[in-house]
Amino acid sequence: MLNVYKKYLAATYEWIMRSIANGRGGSCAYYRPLSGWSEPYPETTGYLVPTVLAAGQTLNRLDAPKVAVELGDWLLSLQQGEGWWPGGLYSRRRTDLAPSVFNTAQILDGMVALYRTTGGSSWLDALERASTWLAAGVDEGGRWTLGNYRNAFNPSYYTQVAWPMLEAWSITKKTEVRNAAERVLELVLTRRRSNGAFNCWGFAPGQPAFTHTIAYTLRGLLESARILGAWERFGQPALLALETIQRRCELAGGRLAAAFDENWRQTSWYSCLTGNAQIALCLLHLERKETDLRLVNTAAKLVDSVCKTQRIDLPASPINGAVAGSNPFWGRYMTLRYPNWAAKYHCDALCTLMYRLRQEGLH
Amino acid sequence: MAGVVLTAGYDRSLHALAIGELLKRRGIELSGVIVVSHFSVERIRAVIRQKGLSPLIAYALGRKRLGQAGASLAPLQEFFAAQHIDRTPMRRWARKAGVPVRLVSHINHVDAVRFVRQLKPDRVIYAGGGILRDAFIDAVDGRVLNAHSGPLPEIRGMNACEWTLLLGLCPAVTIHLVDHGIDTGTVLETIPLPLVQDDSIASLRERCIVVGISALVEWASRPLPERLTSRRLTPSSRQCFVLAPALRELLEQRLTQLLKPCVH
Repeated sequence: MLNVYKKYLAATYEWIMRSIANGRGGSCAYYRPLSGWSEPYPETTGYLVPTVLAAGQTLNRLDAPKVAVELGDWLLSLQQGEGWWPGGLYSRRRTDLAPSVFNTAQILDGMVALYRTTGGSSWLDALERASTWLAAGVDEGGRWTLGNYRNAFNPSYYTQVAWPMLEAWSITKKTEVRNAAERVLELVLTRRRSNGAFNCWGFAPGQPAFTHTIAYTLRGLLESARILGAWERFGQPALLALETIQRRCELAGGRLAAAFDENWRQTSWYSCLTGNAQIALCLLHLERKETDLRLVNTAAKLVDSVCKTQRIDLPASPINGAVAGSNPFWGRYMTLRYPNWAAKYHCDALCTLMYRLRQEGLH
Repeated sequence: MAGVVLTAGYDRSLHALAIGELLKRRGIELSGVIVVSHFSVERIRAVIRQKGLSPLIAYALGRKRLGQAGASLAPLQEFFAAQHIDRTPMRRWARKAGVPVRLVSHINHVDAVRFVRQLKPDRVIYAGGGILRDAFIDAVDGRVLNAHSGPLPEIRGMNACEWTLLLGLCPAVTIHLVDHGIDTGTVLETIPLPLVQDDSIASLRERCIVVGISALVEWASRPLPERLTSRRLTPSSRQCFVLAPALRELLEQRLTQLLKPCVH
């Protein structure tokens, strides 16, 4: 199986490289069969950086560090003076630049990875400015009033903002950044329901959440707990939701519903493939703490579920190695498109799974 | 004693047939047999949910028997030969033995529950048919015995043999009462089953079935605990599910190392 996974990783990585080759500096947000490549997307380009570095190393791609730096340079050129990045796709013609909390945090993730890899001062400067800007915008209640995707809505998946803030704090040691991140996490914890779900963990309040944003929420908690050494406070609260999802996935033979509402009612006629990969990552990261191959088992099934949807036998095709938004392709998450973040998370999940299986002695 | 009711996962269940025949030879009253139909909407739906459409398509094309695990049947064949049990479909066997039999589309069907209630058995011996739900379990006040192919409480759920080996535990068969959880009922007996030279996963599974058959026959007439308690789940009791291909490959690679004596 390791050889099989490596083939899928290589194909997915090459697709990401193709998205960069067509991205005029960044990585294209998605590929759509009828209309081709989209504009580049700074947010997802940002968190593609650690993926390029990690997957590139696994695949022995010697140019991976250079590619990552070039992505970083492009992102630096878009960072605004106060430290934020704007939301949305990039276009030279755009003039309506507005700050985005979530997008800034995902690009911050890329800056952290580049600093840790190269030690370069430009990355340090960028991550300091970004994390300072993020921290300054958090009120005492853990909310941002400026830079939200939807008006004043601070979704629970902002744990995925707290996490990069804490990664930045671990480098800069600026206490205001850590304190702000903790306020964000505490706000999310107040939304935890007795069934393990979190209110407002979707794109809009009161609506079913894609597994994509559910996984953001849970992963943000797990990683924040790791950085802070605070498992009981921030990691434990994610456990019931993760185990509920794990069980649902296993009972469905490795298939995962695309979305769940806050009572765990599921939308299961399609899967959100990005969410599948992200949940696999959550399980693998939890397993680092709990050492239980039963979690790896479910993660493997989720990874397999994404691999099964990929074409890797058409090397000349722009969909070779791509990961669709949904399975079936016409599902409601990123309908009829192949997002770059789906490929990103699938690469991450493949790398992490392969590493774990090798640790167990699989050869 | 009010007799025993036996379940069978399908009409040609060797597992159930062996238990029924051995109970009869011991003079233990078998008050009824419930057979789950191989071809029911519920079963087909469950197969699709778990495995997708491929097994059904393969079955329709005559390539594979539905539900067939493809494992070696050597230990079970040897058991049947040693016990001189003729292979007969369950319903035919039951009719010949004068045992009332009910064919149902799924084990929790109202007909199955009603059948058990009417018979008022002393206990039910579970030899397949799917997860039992509350109504069935309550119909016999929780006196349902199962042979689980792994040590409890550590290994609950599916592929118990495989998970036992993968998690580094010693193989065992556990006789337990079925309650409202998944393999959380009162443990009656744990029977170690050391690996033997040349064991494979398939042969170990079969040996677990054979040990389970004998143990269930023994427990058909033993007194049951008066107070039946459900074990409280602990983190080590995470439920096991069917192995993913990568984990199965890991287990196969490890098996030669595992063929060493282990201590309970």
